[in-house]
Amino acid sequence: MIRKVCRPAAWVAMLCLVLALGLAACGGGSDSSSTAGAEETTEAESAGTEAAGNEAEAEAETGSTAEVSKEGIVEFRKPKAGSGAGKKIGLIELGSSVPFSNLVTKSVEKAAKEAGAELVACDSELEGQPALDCAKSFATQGVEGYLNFQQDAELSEAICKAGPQVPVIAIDITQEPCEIAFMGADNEYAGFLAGKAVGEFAKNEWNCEYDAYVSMEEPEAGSVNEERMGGYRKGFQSICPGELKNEKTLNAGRTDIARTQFTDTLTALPGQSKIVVVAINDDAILGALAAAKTAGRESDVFVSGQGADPSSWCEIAHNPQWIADTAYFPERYGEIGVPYLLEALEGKEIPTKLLVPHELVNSKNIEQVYEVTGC
Amino acid sequence: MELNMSPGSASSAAPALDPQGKRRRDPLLSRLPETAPLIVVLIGLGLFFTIKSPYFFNYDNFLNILTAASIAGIIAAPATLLMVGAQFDLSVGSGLTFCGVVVAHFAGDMSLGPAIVLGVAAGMVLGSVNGILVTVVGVNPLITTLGTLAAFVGLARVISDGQTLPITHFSTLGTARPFFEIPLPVLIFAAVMLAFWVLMRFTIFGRSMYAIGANPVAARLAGIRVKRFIFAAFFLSGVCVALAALVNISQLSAASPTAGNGLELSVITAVVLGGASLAGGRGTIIGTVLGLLVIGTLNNGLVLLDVSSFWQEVARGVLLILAVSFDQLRLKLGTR
Repeated sequence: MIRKVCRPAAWVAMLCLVLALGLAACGGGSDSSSTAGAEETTEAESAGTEAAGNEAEAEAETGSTAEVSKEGIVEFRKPKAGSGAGKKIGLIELGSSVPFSNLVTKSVEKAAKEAGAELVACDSELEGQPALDCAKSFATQGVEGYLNFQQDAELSEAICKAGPQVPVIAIDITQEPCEIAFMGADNEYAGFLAGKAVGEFAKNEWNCEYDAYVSMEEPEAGSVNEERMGGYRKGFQSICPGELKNEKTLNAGRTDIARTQFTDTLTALPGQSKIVVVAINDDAILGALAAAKTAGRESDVFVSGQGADPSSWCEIAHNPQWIADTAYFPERYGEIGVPYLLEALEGKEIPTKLLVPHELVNSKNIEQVYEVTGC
Repeated sequence: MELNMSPGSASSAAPALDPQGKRRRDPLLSRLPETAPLIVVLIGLGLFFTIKSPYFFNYDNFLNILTAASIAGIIAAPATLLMVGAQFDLSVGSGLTFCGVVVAHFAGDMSLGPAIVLGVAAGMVLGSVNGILVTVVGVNPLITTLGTLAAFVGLARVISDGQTLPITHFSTLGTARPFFEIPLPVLIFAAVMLAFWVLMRFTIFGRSMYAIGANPVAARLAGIRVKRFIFAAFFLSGVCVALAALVNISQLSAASPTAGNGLELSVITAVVLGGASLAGGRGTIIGTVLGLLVIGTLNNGLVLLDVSSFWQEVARGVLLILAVSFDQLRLKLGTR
């Protein structure tokens, strides 16, 4: 009985599925269009960045090698011992599921300990509500100043209101209106550094006659994604000017997803052996390399990632396909955030931009930048 | 003990009768196998993507689809067995993360062999914990596995310190192509599916799970060892999760603390899409394989067509909603 009654329903469901698929395919377009859509949503936020970006874009088109601005970049410095004695500072973590966030947390803990300050750390779990709870808890606990790494810039006003009215330094994501300074990655510059290095490789090896440019992105990261991957394009185009050849954009910020998606993408690039792959993080590059290896096409891809995470040090050092990476030094974020926050608590004026001094890392210099062992 | 029950449809074994109790003549559609709509969807997708992309219809791409489905597939086999018995395992994603991290962590401290043994043991522990909590303590399987989902992903982060752990000299399992260029993960996936197909179709254990899912009280009164069989199903789920974790870290040469995020959703989608009922008593391995292939083909084709990732999510979401709605519709109509 059930089977009889359900058969028509099954066929209807099947038709709906095919219809939905058709809709998706028709409404889809290329990924570059989706990126454009994302750009529109953050247009107002990043007007200033865009103005600078347009200049660089124009320069890139004319083949200029002009670089993006380095304004606001500061040096790492150890906090003075005892400079935080008797002070209680806070840290709203991004999320313990994010390796980058864990490194930041550890570095802040280390710096606070060196300074002798009491640190209250609270995990926002990549969500707004826990971040709000963290801020309330800081108010209750009498935190005198805090570093805020919660991810949703739109919620920052509510979080500022809920938290104690004390100096706040934002980490990587703007926390208006209470932030007195923004510290973290200079995403556009970081992307530009690696993009330029990959461009130089393409110029030297192939005279810029590459087959495809695959950009592994994370649109959910909003302006961070746009600035970082936009910086990549500008850097690359500053050496190999003109429109990117056979550009493909994938939503693949995680190793396993990147592996699956890049496997399919390689299928759509048969016989091509000069494939440039850039990514928003190193996890995605690890996935892309795994896909290329499985397909027996490791020598066809030339990769570059962002972060220079410990998990990729061995590959950067020994895999000839890994052209360049930008180091973010999350394990040293505390050496900027903590000393400047303590200075602010003492009433000193601090710069409003505290950007990380990114470094280009490749097989030649990685062992000078990091202690690479166990490869 | 004779279980008069056909695998795949415990609740639909009765012949179709009209209100007067006379046997009705089946219309054409009802004489087709239950998996027919899925086969048609699969063929439809295949035709659509073949027309739209010159890269879709070739041997290598079919292997891509199967390789992409292999990890979820290895886990979907025991998930089908569990769902047939009206049980769920939401901890498969965190289990995969945990087992992978255990192997990668201990491979650094000791040789690879013992690390793999520890990884498999971790999967067995996960399955046993779930099984004991459900059958001995009597906690609802959803709540149990929701709890172990959180606990094991937390443990994985503790062990890995929240970082991706690289693992070297362990790529054969994930990348080897022993014959006909077929990747080893695809062969493992096929072997697991075959084993569970035999288990569910030809063994007392497998057939009993249909009875347990359809009516656990009746199954118990019929002499079926309900708790023991449910425990065994959870244990098998843990073992398969460990196997999938080994394939995963071998493919990636790394164990990521986020590797299994959302995997439980993919697995449940495939199983439900394949015709298994959320209420138990219904489902087949062949249906699950078709469900996996439909999802894999959809994902693969959308990437080949360069469809925006946002639209890909929409398509996957529509698929999930359709799968669950279809199951609900089936249940509703069945109770009229």
